[in-house]
Amino acid sequence: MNKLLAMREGGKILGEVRHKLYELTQVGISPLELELKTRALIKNLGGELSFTKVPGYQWATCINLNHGVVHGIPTSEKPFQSGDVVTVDVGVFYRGYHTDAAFTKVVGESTPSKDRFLEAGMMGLKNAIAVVKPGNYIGDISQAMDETIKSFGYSCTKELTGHGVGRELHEEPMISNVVLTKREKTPLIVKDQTLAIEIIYVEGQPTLVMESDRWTISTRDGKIAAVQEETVQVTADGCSILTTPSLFQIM
Amino acid sequence: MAKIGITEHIGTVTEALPNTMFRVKLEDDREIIAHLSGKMRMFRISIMPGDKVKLEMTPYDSTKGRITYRVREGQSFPSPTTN
Repeated sequence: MNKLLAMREGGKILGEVRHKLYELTQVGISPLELELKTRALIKNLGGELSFTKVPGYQWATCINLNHGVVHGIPTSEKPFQSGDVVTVDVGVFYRGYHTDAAFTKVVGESTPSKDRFLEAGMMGLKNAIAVVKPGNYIGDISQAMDETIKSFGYSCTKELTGHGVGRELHEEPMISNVVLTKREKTPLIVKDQTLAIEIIYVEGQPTLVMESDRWTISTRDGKIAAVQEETVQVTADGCSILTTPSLFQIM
Repeated sequence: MAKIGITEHIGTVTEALPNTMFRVKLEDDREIIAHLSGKMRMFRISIMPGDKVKLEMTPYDSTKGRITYRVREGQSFPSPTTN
């Protein structure tokens, strides 16, 4: 099966799984329950788990709470409380290809500051996806994310990046969330490339610490963090989101 | 799942090794071996045991690093650049 077709179908499975998880992520459910539900959902839809193929990682999802940024291990049985900022990152492996998606939401009662924080990420992701087209550079994606997040007064992380996705979950190019160099020095975007565009940003200082489990990465100052992510395929004049329904549709 | 790119650390040089390599103790007490970045070699920045250095590490090898900046006693690291 050709790559784009397999990834489009895989993306549909993942989109559906993410949509279900988005609805399930409510007050009272625990990360472990979500993990088990994800496994069942992916299996029922005919996909395989993607993140378990990462060396050393044994879970289908990464679930982070409040100041957790990425790679949170979903083994906690403590239910979510009202007001928690929950990030769920999930991947599907279908017919030899990976797709990757994530969402962040506030469970239960939210506050205006948390709403604004999540809105910044959605706008950053939208602006980033808008510049994905052949002829542009990866640096343009970084710039779009960086500028949008900065305009809201938050910061993107430097150490964590988006990535190419396909036969492997993490492929080249690395899509930095901040501008590190001139755009011309970053790789060109080419047609039919598949990219996991992820915007990873924090409310406070973008200094990260690794927790003792050697996976979970959190903010040092304990302020909240969020990740919004889609897998996209570059087309002749732009890009199309493979993980449908997209975040813009489900939120 | 996010990819971990290059990370920045701060450490203190504990020993100068042959071939302009250095043993560096990181702030989290890990000891690693680090080499100089090309620009630092070009401008012949000398590094002595006791100097504080900024270094970059990749997630692929937690025992090696690349020194990108040096400060002597009394100096401080410049504030992070925006670009």
